[in-house]
Amino acid sequence: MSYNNPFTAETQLKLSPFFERTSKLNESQEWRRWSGYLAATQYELTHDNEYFAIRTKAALLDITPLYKYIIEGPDAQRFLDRLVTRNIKICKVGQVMYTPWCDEDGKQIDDGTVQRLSENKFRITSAEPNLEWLDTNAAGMELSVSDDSKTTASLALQGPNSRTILNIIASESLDSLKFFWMTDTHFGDIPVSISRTGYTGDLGYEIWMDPKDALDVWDLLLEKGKPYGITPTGLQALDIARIEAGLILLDIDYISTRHAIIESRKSSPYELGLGWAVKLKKKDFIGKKALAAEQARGPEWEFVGIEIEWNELENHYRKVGLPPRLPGTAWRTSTPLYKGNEQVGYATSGTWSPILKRYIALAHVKAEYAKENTQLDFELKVEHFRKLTPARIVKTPFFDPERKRSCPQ
Amino acid sequence: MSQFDIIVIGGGLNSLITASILGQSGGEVLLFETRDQVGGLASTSEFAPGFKCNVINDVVKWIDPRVMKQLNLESHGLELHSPDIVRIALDTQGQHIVFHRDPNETAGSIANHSEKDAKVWKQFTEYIDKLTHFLEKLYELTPPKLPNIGLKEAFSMRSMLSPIRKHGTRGLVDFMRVAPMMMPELVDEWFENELLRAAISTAGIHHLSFGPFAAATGLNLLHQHVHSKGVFHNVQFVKGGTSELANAVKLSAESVNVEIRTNSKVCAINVENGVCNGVTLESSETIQADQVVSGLDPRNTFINLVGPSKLNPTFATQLRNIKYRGSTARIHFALNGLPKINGIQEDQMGMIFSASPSIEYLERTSDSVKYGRMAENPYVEFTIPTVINPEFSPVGKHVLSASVQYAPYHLRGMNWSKELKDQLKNNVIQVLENYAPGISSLIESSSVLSPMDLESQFGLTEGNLNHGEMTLDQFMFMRPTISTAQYKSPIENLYLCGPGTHPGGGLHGTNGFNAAREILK
Repeated sequence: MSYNNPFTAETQLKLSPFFERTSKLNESQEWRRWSGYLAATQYELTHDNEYFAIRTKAALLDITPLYKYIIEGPDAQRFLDRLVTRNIKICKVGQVMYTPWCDEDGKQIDDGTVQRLSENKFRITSAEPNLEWLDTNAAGMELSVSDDSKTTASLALQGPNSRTILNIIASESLDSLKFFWMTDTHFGDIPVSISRTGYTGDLGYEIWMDPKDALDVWDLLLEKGKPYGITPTGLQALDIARIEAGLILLDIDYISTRHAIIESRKSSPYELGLGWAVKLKKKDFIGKKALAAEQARGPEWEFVGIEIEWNELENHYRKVGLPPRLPGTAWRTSTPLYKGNEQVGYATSGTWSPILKRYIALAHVKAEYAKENTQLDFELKVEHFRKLTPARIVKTPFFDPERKRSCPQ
Repeated sequence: MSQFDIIVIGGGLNSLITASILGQSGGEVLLFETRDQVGGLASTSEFAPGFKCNVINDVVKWIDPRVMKQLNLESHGLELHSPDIVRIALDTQGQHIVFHRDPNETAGSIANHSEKDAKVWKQFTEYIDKLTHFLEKLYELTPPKLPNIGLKEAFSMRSMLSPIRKHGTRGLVDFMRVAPMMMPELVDEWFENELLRAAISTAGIHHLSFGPFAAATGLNLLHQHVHSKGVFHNVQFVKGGTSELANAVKLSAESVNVEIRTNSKVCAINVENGVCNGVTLESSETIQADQVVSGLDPRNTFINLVGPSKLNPTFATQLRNIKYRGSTARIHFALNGLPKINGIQEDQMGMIFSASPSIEYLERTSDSVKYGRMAENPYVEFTIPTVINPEFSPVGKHVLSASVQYAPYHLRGMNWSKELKDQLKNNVIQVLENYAPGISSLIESSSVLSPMDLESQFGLTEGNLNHGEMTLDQFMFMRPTISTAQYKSPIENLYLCGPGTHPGGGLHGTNGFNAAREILK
């Protein structure tokens, strides 16, 4: 008897439609798994040039692995407005909103962007699969939820030259496209959507297209972008940029309530520095009651930026006869923060910022110690021994260039 | 727009009881019933010209004594008839087992089959009676909210100590052992005769979608025998029909100024910011109230009337996971004479008959639910209500009402149609012919109610007569869901009082009584 098992699984990592090109460009052949895709860690042997492409030229990243869902139907707006914490009712066609979404206890499940493609059609992106959550909450509403993860390919073009490059290729000028808005345009005869969004905190765009056009778009960008320093860029450089921008990463800076096996691992948007995205004036949304109560009593934790002070750091290394050692890449190990003898927080990701020349990190800190300029002690390992070194709470984003939001006059 | 203190949705027994108790304490109560008469599962109506039937329940197994007392039902015209013979388990050879109120007489009937079984019968009925004492106390309680049970909750369950005191921890252990049991395990410990074993097992599968081999049929058996004072297969007939039970409660409600509106379908429970503030009728009239109580099942209440977008996602998932799976059909026959049943005298006709020759027969017929088809040799339990209530039919004529298991709501590759209902009817007639040869020639007309009909006519999700299966995982603090077992709901000011709540289905009124107590707290 055969089992007649209809189950099929992809036993290998998925390949993005850009893989044909990225695989050949990747000199280092260093890859990471990202949402089941093979994604370039870095293209060159070190990531430095790619990082500086983000900050001084134009970096091209394959972001196809993002989870994407299309919500379409007369109830689409009502559905999303109830699902996420931001006010989707005021999201205009062509507008994009970054938003977290929570369970009914007000604990964060995921975060992503909501794009309003038309009156009744939206795209939502996420770090993790959310189809079941979307389906569950769509019960009784007139709409369809479809997984757009494989049906749309996407690239991020980030950096000060990104607009110039796109203006050369696109059929319409992007000069008037504002931060967190999007537009439909063409690259020659290829239809694409371009949103002014990104994960770098710099001037940048994300380009959404049919996977069949992926290679043509890639080639066009590399060709026309060459004089402007366009650089295929991997996740290593992106990670530094996103910390400089103060942007959180799921599973690193917080744990989705879906995976948190104990209550204390869960975080609310208030505890993740996303209180600005919780619109308590909205009539009703998932988690509202709990979030309103939390807002009233004040969150227990806050998510802050810290800067590890240079002089003390240098001293620690001098004492053992070494020059100061700095992380070459962004790190992701939870690192304790103390006030006196008490541990009052932990940093979840940090990096040396090459552009700011500062050692920065993102951290969870108990609310009473979260005020700007509060002095804490950061745990540092110097030659196998744990030391404490002063760190100061600072404003995020650490790096926030004016060009991120501005439009040319 | 009008304003009431309390709106009760549904005119079934529990809704009427809740309305009546709330009315007694001075609340201005308004009750809506979709049908043209109240009663719900306690309805009596004409199914063929001149012939009436108890549409769903022919008998009452037990009524909560607190309800009888608080609503003074006897003074409102309730007359219960407790027959001396409660049930006859039919034998094709005419060697029927007759269940009497008096266990010694029952033992006499059993002795025709097995001396050994006859000897322990009385002891068995005492054993079951003892176990039901635990349920009786448990049923009076509002289930604790788990898992955060504190001293307060533990203290509120102190009444459970009295049956423990009476029967010892041994009694409690027996209860905990029997409730999750399946029927063959229980009867194996007592009896050898197959007809008797099957006749006992029918109590475990009453209105269930499972067969006797299912776990926790023990609980269902005990549930049928609460407040039965040791009478196994206890039944009581309501003088004038089962609807008279509902009418007595209705009169008691009206005596405390409860306003009852029939032919009024509620099409929405209005919820604003997690707070319930009234209902909207099909006529698009909106009525406000401080509190709303629903006697409908959880799916109708929350999914259909509140709407999924007003429910928190965890609760919505819990609601979706409630098992309904109605598998019982009702068939009413209009007969032009009293049927002759082999070996039964005419004066023995006023009770319940069951056609349940063996446990294996019951289990095999329950297989039909698994495979999504109709039972070919169904388990048929029937009564001739015209013997107790002659006014149900023209003089000299009779009614035979049958409960048929298993007729699953979910069929595989087919739908409930007239042809299918005819086929089910024919299967039932074939079973009846085994015991009452020639009965088919007496049939003038008939009415078949499939679970699909029960859903559309009585608003029962999937036609389940208990508003949710009576299984151990839907029992007590898990009924209807673990977050709503206190007759309250996650929606403020919205309460539940129907059989979907603790302690489950049946015409006993405990749900309605407990719900009213919680609302008045």
